[in-house]
Amino acid sequence: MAQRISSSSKNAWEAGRLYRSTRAISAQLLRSPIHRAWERSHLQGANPRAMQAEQLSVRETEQLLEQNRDLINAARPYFRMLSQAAGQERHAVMLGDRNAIVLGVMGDDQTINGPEPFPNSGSLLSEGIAGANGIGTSLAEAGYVEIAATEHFIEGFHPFTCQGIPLYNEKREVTGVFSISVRRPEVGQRLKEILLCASHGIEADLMVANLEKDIRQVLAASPDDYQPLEKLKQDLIQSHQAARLKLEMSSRLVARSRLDYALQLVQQAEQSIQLFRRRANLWHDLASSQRGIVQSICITDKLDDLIDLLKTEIAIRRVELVPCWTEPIRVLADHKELIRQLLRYFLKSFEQMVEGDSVAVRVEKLSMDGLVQVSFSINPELHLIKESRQATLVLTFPLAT
Amino acid sequence: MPTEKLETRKVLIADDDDDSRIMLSFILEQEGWAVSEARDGKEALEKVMQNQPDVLVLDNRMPELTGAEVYQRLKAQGVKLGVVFATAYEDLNQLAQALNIAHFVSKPFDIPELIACIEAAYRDLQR
Repeated sequence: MAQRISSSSKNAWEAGRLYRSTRAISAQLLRSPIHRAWERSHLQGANPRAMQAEQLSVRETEQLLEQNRDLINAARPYFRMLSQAAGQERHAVMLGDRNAIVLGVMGDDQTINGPEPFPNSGSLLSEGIAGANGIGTSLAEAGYVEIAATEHFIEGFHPFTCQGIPLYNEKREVTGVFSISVRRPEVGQRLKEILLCASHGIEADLMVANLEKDIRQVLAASPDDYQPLEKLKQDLIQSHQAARLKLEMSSRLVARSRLDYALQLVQQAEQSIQLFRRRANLWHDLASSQRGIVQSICITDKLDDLIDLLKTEIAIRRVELVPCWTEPIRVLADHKELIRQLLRYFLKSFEQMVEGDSVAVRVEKLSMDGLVQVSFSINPELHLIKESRQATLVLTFPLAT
Repeated sequence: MPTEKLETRKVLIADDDDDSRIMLSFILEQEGWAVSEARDGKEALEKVMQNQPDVLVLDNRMPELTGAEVYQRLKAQGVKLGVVFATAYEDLNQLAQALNIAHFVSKPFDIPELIACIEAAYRDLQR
């Protein structure tokens, strides 16, 4: 990989020399994302001879930082972890807003405070101003990019190899960009997986902040639902905490060059983040009072998701939950309403159970009727206990074909 | 030549989430702590008696006994140790105040934040 970057960099140096003398951008000498970035930089009037990024005023920068406080707070732990992974190497971790303006930088002292100018909070890094670079180009390309040394459009950035990745909110809108710049390309390669995982970690942290806001709304709008949802929220944050700890551990291992084990942990952290994301989406639907649209839904998958979310609650109550279905079954229902209804039935069952009880959740197609029945039977194997603890709760939905 | 006794400080992590507990153990061991683990509230109480840790990092939502219940029982038994309450509880500040717990971190926490809290709990214990 370092060799590939080195040869790209030599070609890019030649492409840069040609461009500065003829204003022609050579498609043969540049990798395709870099070629596209140079074309955009050229069309938007970036100056290839610039030596440093332009800057907002102090007052404008303060306002920008205030506007992006949630994003900056969410990114803070990941700045530290990525910088820790870079160890003694020359590096700078950067966070930008959705317009490629720098919101924060962390790195080694020489890079950040040394004699060479380095972009800091308020620096304008859009391609139109700063040319192809790790922040502006990853936003323009809407994905991860790596820009090695002379692949940067302006000369001032040539000492660095930069990687950047856009950050998205829950609606898949771009909220910012996270990047790392290093002097040695091979160091950048060691940090790539941590950068990618950290970007997803920041997105997950933004989701956590939204969960906190949502739970306050639940408390205000429907206090009866608050307690169970608050408990479930705590449980799902646990998977995010696990991801953070795995990333912390891998960052420490990368700094000590134990790369294989670090990579395994990054992959596990990524899985924990995906798990958190899935559970958080489900939780959002449970906490929302909105209605969705009636559609074909795999009810058995939804039950699996809910059982996963309720895992800690089940362990704490010391009860057993037995899923009883043999095939995926689809029903016609409003997705949000369906899972809220299912959760209510799980909770109703729990209220009637005592330690050691079990509940069988059965999903069956009712022949001829075109209906699907979901039943929650407490202690189905026991027939001689009190009626109150033998209850069966039943829900029906139209079968989707 | 005088020899200085090197004291290993002991921390017990009580958390029902296996991944979090294992990772935190690794990290705290790297920070020089001797670490033991408990998977639920009951085990936490047993391990406190058995290992006599200096600091207990305590999750709240756990099987058998909640973190709050563990803390109350330790207090009732007059056990002296530093306690760091680490939970995702919505109003942790209020809960910690109600229980009279001085050291707490909200999940998700960053490691330096937790370590600072553990150090503070340990320092308080030495006073």
